[in-house]
Amino acid sequence: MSDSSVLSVTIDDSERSLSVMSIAGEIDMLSASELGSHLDEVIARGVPVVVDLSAVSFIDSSGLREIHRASDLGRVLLVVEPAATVARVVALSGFGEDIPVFEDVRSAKRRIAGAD
Amino acid sequence: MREGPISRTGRRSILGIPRVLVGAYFGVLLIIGLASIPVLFGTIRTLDREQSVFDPTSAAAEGVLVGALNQETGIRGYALTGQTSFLEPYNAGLVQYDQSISELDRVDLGATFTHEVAATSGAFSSWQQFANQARNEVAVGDASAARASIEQTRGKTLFDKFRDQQAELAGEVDKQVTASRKSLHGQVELSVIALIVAILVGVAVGIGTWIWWRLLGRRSAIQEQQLADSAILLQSAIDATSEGIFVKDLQGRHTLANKARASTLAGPRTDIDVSGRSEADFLDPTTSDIAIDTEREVLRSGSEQRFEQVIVQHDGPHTYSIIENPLRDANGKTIGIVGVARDVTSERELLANRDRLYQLEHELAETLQRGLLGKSTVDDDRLAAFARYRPAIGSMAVGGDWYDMVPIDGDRIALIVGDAVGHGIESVTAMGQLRSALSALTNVGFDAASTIEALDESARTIVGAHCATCVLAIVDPANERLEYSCAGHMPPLVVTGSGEPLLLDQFQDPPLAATERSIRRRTTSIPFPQGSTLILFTDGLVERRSESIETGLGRLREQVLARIDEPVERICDELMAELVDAENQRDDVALVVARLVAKYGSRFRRDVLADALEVRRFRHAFGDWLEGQGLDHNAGELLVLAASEAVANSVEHAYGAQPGVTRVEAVQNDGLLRVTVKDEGRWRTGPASRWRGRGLQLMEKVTDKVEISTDGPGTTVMLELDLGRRRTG
Repeated sequence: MSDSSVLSVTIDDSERSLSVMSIAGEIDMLSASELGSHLDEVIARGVPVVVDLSAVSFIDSSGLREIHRASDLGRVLLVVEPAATVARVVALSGFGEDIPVFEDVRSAKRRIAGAD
Repeated sequence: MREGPISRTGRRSILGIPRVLVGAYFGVLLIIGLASIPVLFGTIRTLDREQSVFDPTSAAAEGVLVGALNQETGIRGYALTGQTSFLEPYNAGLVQYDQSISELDRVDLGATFTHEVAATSGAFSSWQQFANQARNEVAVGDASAARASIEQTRGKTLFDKFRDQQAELAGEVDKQVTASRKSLHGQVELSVIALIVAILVGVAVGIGTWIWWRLLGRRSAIQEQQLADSAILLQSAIDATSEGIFVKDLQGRHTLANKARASTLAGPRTDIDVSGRSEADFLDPTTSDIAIDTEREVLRSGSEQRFEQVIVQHDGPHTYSIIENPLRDANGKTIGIVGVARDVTSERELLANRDRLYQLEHELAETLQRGLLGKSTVDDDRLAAFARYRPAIGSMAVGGDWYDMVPIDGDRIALIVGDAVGHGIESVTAMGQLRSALSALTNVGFDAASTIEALDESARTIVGAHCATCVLAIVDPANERLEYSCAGHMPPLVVTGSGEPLLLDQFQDPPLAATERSIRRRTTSIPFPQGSTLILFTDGLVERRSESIETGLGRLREQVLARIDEPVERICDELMAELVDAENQRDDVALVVARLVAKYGSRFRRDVLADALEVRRFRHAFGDWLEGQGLDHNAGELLVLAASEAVANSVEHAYGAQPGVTRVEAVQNDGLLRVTVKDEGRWRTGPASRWRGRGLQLMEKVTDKVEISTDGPGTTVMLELDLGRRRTG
């Protein structure tokens, strides 16, 4: 991983009832604010947001803080790779009750469809 | 105890027969005599009875005749003369007749007699009727008719009939009297004969008994003499032994005791006889109670019992070891107790002295041993190595085992465990010299085999070093290799990456100074990657009595496998505790456990500038360093997160906008990884920002220990991780 690498963020707005935001890279002090502004942007659509962290290699408390802040503004669902350290960190941070966590994007979407 | 033969011909006898027996005999004679008195009296009484019955009867029979004759004469005179004076003899005869006949009526001498009496009486009655008629004729004056009546044949005939009848009666009485006299004679004769026979038999029996008794007495006397002779023989024989020998009856009273036992109990005075006395008569109650209890147990169980008795003698207390057995007669019936008492006083003193000496040597050897052994750990942060020594329990088995840990040129570390043959001072001294020699030799820098070859040379000049064994292992942390050479010693046990304990027993050379000439020895070199563990030990760790060495080695392997993730020092202590039978440790034990903890340069150190990009760079560098520490990947990343949180907190809050440096140091030592993050500012936590709190929470969750100290000028965060639980593999 390069020192200068920033977040790679892909936003999929193709579906009317939800947005999918896929992130790759490291979420730390350096990139947390960037994540925050992307989240604000997507939340503003007013539909549930699936945040896919499968390709994130590191997340610290500053990244978790941004996700939690966004969930106060709108509905946020997380997708993590179960074997990855990020999944452990998300579980240890203890916001599983506030923000549902899924193993893949399809499961998250099904939850949104089921809830509707 | 000695007693003369008991004589049966003593004071209590008459003519060699016990007085009692003589008395009994005469008693019996007296009874026979007394019994014969009533027999005699009976005879006399019978005689009296005969006299009183037969004499009056004969007299009455005579009286009947005389009375009748008087009547006949009276009547005849009266009839002839008509004088009434003739009626006097008639009346007197009538009275005599009536008296006699009534006397005869009263006598019972059988049916014939009674019949004769009645017949006589009948016959006379007939005559009397006739006589009365005649008297009446006389009274009316018809004397001639009366005379005629009497003279007539009829009257005479009637009287003659009576006389015949009376004669028959008298004959019958005579017959009876004669018969009675005859039987009385027979009776008296029989009594006299019986008495004579009884007296003769009594005398004969008396004489026979006396003769038999004398014969028996002579035989008994011979037997008694023999018995007395054998008793003296027995007494002399048992008196000749120094051990106490005694026999007691069922009540615990001595019936026999030899001189040794008698003088033990009664003292040297020879006039005190122990026979008939029990232990309670000589000993204090506590001592005698034990003896009495033991006697009861012998009699109850019918088996041998042993006990000890301390009895004060003139030269002080003596200890006796006593064995008691039941004494049985020829029928197997228990009739007493036979015992042997052995004086074990001096034996015990010798034993105690020997024990004291052994104890002294043991302590001396142990002190020497401890003094000769080196430090129990090695000062090297790449190798965690600990050694333990434990002496054997008991007086015999001390010394000989040793360990040593010697750094060579600062690069490598030599680990040694050895065992000098034998125990005690000599083997401890030999061990000390071997240890010094080997310690010096390792520093020369030879390989393991050459070092042992040189030691082999030295061992030939060291007293007590013959056949000593040792194993030399040299750990090279930089190249992660281990080389060793084994001189007849227990093979090293290694645990490398696979986690399987492996016994390096393929290359075994002979013990030191065991061969006639120095021999070539072999060095074996194996990979020894970081995290690998080496265990060197002496046979005391794995050998137990009545167990094969393979079983012991198997147990060692199991115990090592069970605790391989624990810190080395703990492994070392626990192996000692688990494998050595503390109660019954017969050999001393030396044990070395060593682990290569990290690559060369296992410290991490970095100063992080107060900048987010700098924090990310630190994180990557720390991650790389952790890769080499044997953590599993996930645990490594979590530790990186924890350290990163600590550093981010400092960068963000300790300095704010001002530039500052946060120093991060990490070190792994024996499975424990410690990260220190130190800044010059102040640490902020608390409700001011719940997400700062979440950072601390994350640190606590992913490490084993978090310590925040604000004692110095700034804040120091210390994180600890026990690698034992998170090792790769």
